[in-house]
Amino acid sequence: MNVILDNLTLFCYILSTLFHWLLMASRKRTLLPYAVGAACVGFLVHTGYLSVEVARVGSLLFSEVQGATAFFSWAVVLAYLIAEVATRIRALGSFLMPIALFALLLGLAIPPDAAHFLPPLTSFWLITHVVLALLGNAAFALTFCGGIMYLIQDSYLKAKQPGGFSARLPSLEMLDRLNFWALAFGLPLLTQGIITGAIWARYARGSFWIWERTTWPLIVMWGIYMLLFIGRWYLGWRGRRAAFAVIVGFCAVSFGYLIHTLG
Amino acid sequence: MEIIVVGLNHKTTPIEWRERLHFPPDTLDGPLEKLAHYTDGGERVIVSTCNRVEIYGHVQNLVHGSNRLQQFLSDYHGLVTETLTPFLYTHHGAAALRHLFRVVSSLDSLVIGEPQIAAQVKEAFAIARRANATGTVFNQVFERAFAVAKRVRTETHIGEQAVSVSYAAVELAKKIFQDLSAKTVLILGAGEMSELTARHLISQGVRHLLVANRTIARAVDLASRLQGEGVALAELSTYLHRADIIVSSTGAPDIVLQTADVQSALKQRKNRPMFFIDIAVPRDIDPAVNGLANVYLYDIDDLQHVVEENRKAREREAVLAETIITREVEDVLKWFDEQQVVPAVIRLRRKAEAIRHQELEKLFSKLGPLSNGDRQAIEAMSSSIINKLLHTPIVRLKQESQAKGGGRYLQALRDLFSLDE
Repeated sequence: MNVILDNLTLFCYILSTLFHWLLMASRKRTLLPYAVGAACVGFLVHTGYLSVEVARVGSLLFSEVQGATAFFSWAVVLAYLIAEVATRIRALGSFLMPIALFALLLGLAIPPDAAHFLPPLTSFWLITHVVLALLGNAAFALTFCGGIMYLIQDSYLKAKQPGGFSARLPSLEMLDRLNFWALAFGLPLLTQGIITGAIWARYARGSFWIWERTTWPLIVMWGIYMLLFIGRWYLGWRGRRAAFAVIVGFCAVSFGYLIHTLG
Repeated sequence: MEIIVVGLNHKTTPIEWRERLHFPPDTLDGPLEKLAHYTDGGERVIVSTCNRVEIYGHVQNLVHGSNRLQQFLSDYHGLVTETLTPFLYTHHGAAALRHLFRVVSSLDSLVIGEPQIAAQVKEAFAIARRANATGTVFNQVFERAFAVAKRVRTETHIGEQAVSVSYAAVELAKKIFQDLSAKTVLILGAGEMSELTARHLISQGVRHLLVANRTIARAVDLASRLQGEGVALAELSTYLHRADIIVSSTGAPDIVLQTADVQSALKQRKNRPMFFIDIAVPRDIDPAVNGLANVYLYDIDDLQHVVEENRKAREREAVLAETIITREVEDVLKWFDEQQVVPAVIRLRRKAEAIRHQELEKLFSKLGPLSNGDRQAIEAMSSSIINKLLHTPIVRLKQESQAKGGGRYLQALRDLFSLDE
């Protein structure tokens, strides 16, 4: 049952990615319903898969890398579907669906015993910590894609070649707005994730904060995004530089997350 | 019956002749009525725009019909037919349909993909229809042409990218800004070109407009016409930061806007993007401005380059449109043949019946008195010969007219049995 659901999810995401790319290549609007439809079906199946898993192993799901990546992939698709409805940026799926697909494949590629990175997650606080942090990361994945699209569009406009691929991307203002809102959603989620993590640490280990190599990437990550947010809000860090920053930020986060969970 | 188009366009005819042969669209009823004498009452449409004059007619005979349409053009405008001949093109049948479809789809236009021509032909057709100058054939053909034009527009990207400098500027603005209605446009120099661009931007939703000029009176004048705000060019630094889009076309010999000015404006507006359109020659804005982050500068050459690229893109899309049109022409031809097969079959049967009756009468008068039974037997026999003889050709004819590229049998049938006489 679970293998079937898992494979079906994978299949839908592959299909959605391919349809999105075809849509980008051909600019045939008729392809969009298939691209979004495949993502929707995949998302429902994925939700079913995660529900079954939680029913089977309970909160243990999130203590394994497979479970965490599967949940992250689910959150990315959720972020994509919300952004698709809210912004109608047609190109979004071409960038976000591959990330969801990649996360899902990553979970499958890592052998189950390679990383039992945390003590079994039985604590409510620890589960909340993981779930919120992953949801925050999904929002950052959205800023990452928005940032890449921004840089592409910006370079086309600067080079004075607004035809071709540039026609497939939305306006700079739209992308900048997307980046801001995704950041504004992601940052509180990550903040709460860190707070719940600290509460868990207090219960489990007797201190709110333990300086070890698994905790500092999380704090650095939070620092980067906090700085970005403040810079945007007060100092006018926007446009090209902000796009560049969210791309670097997400790369750092992905790397930091791997250290944090696997370390 | 044949569809014929006789016409001239911007490619075949210089403007002096096009204006002489023009039919004002609001007084087409008179010409349409006169044209009826030349098409022998057949269906007719007159399309007259600044780039083309075309007479569409549905006539009995091809050669005679096209001569008559040419004659109409020269008679109506009081000219000798021969003077017009070098300008005119004539298409008939499939070629005429193809021509009409290409015209309405804007493939035959001066600027490929321009949207006006479909509306102009629609109007011309509506006038002809109201004047009862069209019937089943032209109603079908023209409605189909409009459907084809719509298909071309939605299935290709032929009309998408701007092919004029000022539209290209508007399109670029839309790639930088999502919602133009919330943006402020600054016009530097109250020239004609900047006014045109400003008007395009206003039609796209821009509501806030600043007009700056060296002589403030002219700035105020243009500003009042565009419902904007007139400001003095000398005080540029006090309001530059308010502008999202700057259109510059002053007559100044030197740079009006330095990089440092733009830098400080950017700082004031917290790096919100600025779009500079410099259509002045010599240029008004320091080219180095394009190097600043979140600033986009296009001069007249850049815009012309964009337009050139877009034009090429339209030509590529036109190839796609041609294949759509080829398929649609085939469809209409098929429909025609279906329309013509039935009358041809009726005529064929009538002809056969007429011959049978003639021959029977001759026979009966030769044979003298016959019993009723004998008479009926002879009549039945003759009618069964005709039916059996005609059965296969008629079935084949119907089958062939349904097939792709059909219609050859129909023509052959008409020729072999002289059905059109």
